[in-house]
Order: sequence, then structure tokens, then C-alpha cells
Amino acid sequence: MTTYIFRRLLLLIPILWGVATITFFLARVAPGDPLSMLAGQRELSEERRAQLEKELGLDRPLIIQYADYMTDVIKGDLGYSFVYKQPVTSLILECFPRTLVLAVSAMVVAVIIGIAGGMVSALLPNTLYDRIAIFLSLLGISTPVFWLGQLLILLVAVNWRLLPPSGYGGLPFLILPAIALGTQSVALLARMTRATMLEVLGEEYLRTARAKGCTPVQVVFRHAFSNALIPIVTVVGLDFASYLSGSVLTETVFSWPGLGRFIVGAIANRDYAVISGAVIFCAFFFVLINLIVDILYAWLDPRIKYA
Amino acid sequence: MLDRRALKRIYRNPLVHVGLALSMLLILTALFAPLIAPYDPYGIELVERYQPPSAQHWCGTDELGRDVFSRVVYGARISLLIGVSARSVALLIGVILGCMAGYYGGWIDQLIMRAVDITMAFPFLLLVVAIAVLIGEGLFAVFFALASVSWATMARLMRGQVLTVRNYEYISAAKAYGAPGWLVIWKHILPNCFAPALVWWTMGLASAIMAEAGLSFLGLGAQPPAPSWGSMIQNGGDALRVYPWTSVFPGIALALTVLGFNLLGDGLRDSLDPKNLRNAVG
Repeated sequence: MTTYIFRRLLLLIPILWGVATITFFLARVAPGDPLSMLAGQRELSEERRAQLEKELGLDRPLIIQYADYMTDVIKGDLGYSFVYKQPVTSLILECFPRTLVLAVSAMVVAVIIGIAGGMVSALLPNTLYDRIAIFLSLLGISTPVFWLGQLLILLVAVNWRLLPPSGYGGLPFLILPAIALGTQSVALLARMTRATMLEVLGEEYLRTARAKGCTPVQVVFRHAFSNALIPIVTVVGLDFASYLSGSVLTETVFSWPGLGRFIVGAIANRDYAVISGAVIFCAFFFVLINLIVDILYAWLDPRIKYA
Repeated sequence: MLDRRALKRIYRNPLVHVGLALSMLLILTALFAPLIAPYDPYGIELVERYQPPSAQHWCGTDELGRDVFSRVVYGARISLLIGVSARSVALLIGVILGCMAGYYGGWIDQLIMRAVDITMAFPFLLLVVAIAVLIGEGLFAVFFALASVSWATMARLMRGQVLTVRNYEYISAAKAYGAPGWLVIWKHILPNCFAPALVWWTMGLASAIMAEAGLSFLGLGAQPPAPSWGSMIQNGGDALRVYPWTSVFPGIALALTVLGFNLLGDGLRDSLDPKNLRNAVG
């Protein structure tokens, strides 16, 4: 297992190298010279331009710039934002905890409602509850998060005045964005849990467990659910990874000052240093969470052996 | 291609029927938009701004007095255009690279699969946003970003299919006859990969349409005054508390479209899954 984890960590190096390389060259092939891109929409005088080119090493050959860039990325330096006049890494680290709070809350909503709903559906197949749950999960998967966010604001915050419509603060500010962000995962998890539980509930070892005198609760939770966990963990892991990076739309709708909204601000300012830095940062988390999910497989199912 | 048994299962699957009906509704709306829309989707009538839904304006009017129903109808064109074109180009790239990786193996396989790994290491929406920002706003940027990110999953799927098929005896026989690699792929391997490719393409249409709407919502997709559902929802959001119809109707259209393609994709996957086919036979 340790060898497997070590090998997977080693494999991350070429992937992250590829991610950083693509990000570097994407920024170079974009219209406009790198200096104008770094400066965003602001005008630069010729003198200032020459001075900055020298300071930033942009007057040197591209391959040297690339080598410098990669060295900086390895050191954790993701560039400098001319718009905010701060290093990109510190800007990202400032916003990231707020995105993490939102992502964890959304995942808690998704896991509790999705798994519970899916299990009840599997235990009562083809009943009215099951059909309603299937319909709702299909609707949940198909509803765009930014539109759902608007509807939640309209109904819960504006019409019923139960929660604040947007902003950052305590628990009341967190509930609506967490529900909006978690809805698609609720739907996916409910479908996945239902499908895998239905498959597992038909297995012969469950009949054996019942014959041995296990209570229905023991059969469902100890024998059936624990064997249905792998696909559920996959969905949770992948969705959580995408929440950390892809909550751009939810944070915009609810004015949540996390990484996603910060990226949207960078888009508006054409702050390419921030955009590329955020892409590398999020890709790092994305591959890391995928690795954790893979390791969890072996823990959940001892039959899985990693050579 | 699809055999008669698979077609029969598709025909009998109610999910496919509902999905197909919703998808056809979108396609027909997009094709016959000029006949369906009662008003010019770009026609500004400031005296008519923010009219609630009525017999005259079924879905009300927006901040510039434009008919929301007509704009929703024309919005179907943008969604379908981006969804179909981006997904088809990604399919083409994915099929070619996946077939090459699976058939030739060796360094070609290694090179292509590492490119796949790197592309899939990026969070989907964030990479699409980054590419769209770097290329510049507009529908081409959305199309390019979606196509250049989505090919990787298709390439991986296709490689797996080719690896399964390439050791079959009829492939060895074709090679023994001296058929060149491209001919073996085209005539003998591709027809066997049609079903998973069709499911991938259909299911991905929903995510491509959703991503286009998301980018337009962020201001990176279709630019004003183009009637994109995403930008209509974004514009409507500003007036949501007082004039909710400006955002609610484009949202319903988007959700129904995505639901349609999801149902169609689910139904096709269930009908074409070899496991289900085996069960039906056994």
C-alpha cells in the first residue's frame, strides 16, 4: 500500500508539470503580449513597459522564462497580480478557506440527503416514494446551479425572508449556497446509492446474513451499505474536488467571497496571473483528492490490492 | 453499428421516449425559431419594458422591452449549436486519438494517454473558463474551450474499446490480408465502438449545453444582444426580486433541455449496455 501511494505521488509530478506547462503556454499564445496581459486593462507607458520587461525577465528567451516559471511554481510562487499588487499565492490562500467551508457544507448536505434518499428508494423500490425520488434526482441533475441559486434567493430570502439572500457571515449565510452547490451531488448520490444498494440487496450473502439472524438494520447498514460504498465514495470525491475549484457560479450568485468569486473578479479585470495561478492551484487539489479517493478504495474493500 | 436487438431495447425504453421528445422539442424549436417566435428577439420596445406574462407576451418582457418567449425560442439555437458542434469535434478528436493509442500502442499510446491524464487533471469548468478568457469572449471561445477539454474522456473510452477488440480473430485476419492500419480501424474496429460513442456524445450534450449557459452567465459566452439562456438568466438576476419571469423562463428552458438529453443518454446507456443485453438473452 505504501509503495502504491508513493508511486501515485511520483506519478503526480509529470501530471502537475504538464498542467503548469499548458498554463504557461496558454497565457503566451493568448492575444496581446504577456506584459499587457499581466497589467490587465491599464495603459502602460513605453518607459514603464521596458522597465517591467526587464524586472520580470520578459526580455529573455521564452525557454528561459519557462524555466524560471517552473522553478517559481515548484517553490509555490504562482506569480504576481498587478491588479491587486500582491503575490497570487497569498491572494489564493486568503480566499481558499472560505471556498473550503462552502465545499464541506455542500458535501455534508449532499451526503446526508443523497445517501439517505437513495437508501430509502432502494428499500422501497417501485413505490410512489421511489418514483418521486427518481424524478426529483433527475430534476436535480438537470437544474443549472446558478439558476437554482437565483430561485432559492427569490423564494427563501426574498419572499419568505427566512435567510439572508447573499454575502458572507455565519451559518445563515452559508445555508442557501450550500444547498445550491450540493443539489447536483444530492441527486447523483441518491441515484448512485439506489442503484448500488439494489444490486447489493439481491446478493446471496445478504440472505445468509438474514438466515443467521441479523436484524434488518444490521443487514442494511453492516452488510449491504458497506459493500455499496465504493461508487458512492467515487461520486463524493469527484464532486468535492470539483466544488473546490468549480464553485465559480455558486459563489457569484451568492456573492460568497471565496476562490470562485475571486476568479470571476480576475476574469473581469483580465488578471491573467491570478487566473493561471488559480488553475494550477485547483488542478493540484483535483489530482490530490482523486489520489485520496483511490487510496480509500483499498481501505473500504480489502479485496482491492495495489501492486 | 447497432444490431436489431439493441434497437428493440431502445424502442421499448420509456426513458428514451421522454428524452427523445424533449430533445426533439429543442431541435424543432431551434430549426423553426423564426416561425415560432411571435416577436423579433432583438426588437427593443422601451415602453413595453418589464411587462409581466400576458396573452400578448407569454413569458413577459425584459429590461429593454424585448419579448422573453421569442428570446427563449432563439436561445435554443445557440444552445444546440454549441452543444452539438463542440461535442462532435471532441468526439472526432477523441475517436482518432483513442483509436491510435489503442491500436498502435507503444510510444504513441504513452504520449496520447499522458496528454489525456494532463487534460483530465484540470477541473473541467475552470479549464473551460481559463481557455475562454484567454481566447476572448464569444461563441467561438466557448466552442473551442469545450471541444479542447472534452476530447480526453472520449479518447480514454475509445482506447479501452479498441484494446478489447484488437485481439479478436477477425482483426488478425484483416491484418493477415495486408489491410493497412487505418482500414482495419475504419472498417473493423470503429463499427464495434459505435454504441459507447453514441452514449458518450448524447450524455455529454447536456453538460456542454450547461457549460455554455454557465460561461454566458459569467459573461464569457454569447455577447449581448444575442439571446443565450445563460446571459438571459444573468441579466434577469439583477431584476429577479421584482421581475422574476426574466430569469425563470430561460431557466426552465435550460433545465428541460438538459433533462431531455440526460434522459436520452441514460436510456441509450441502459439499452446498449452489454450487461443488459446479456441479461435479456440469458
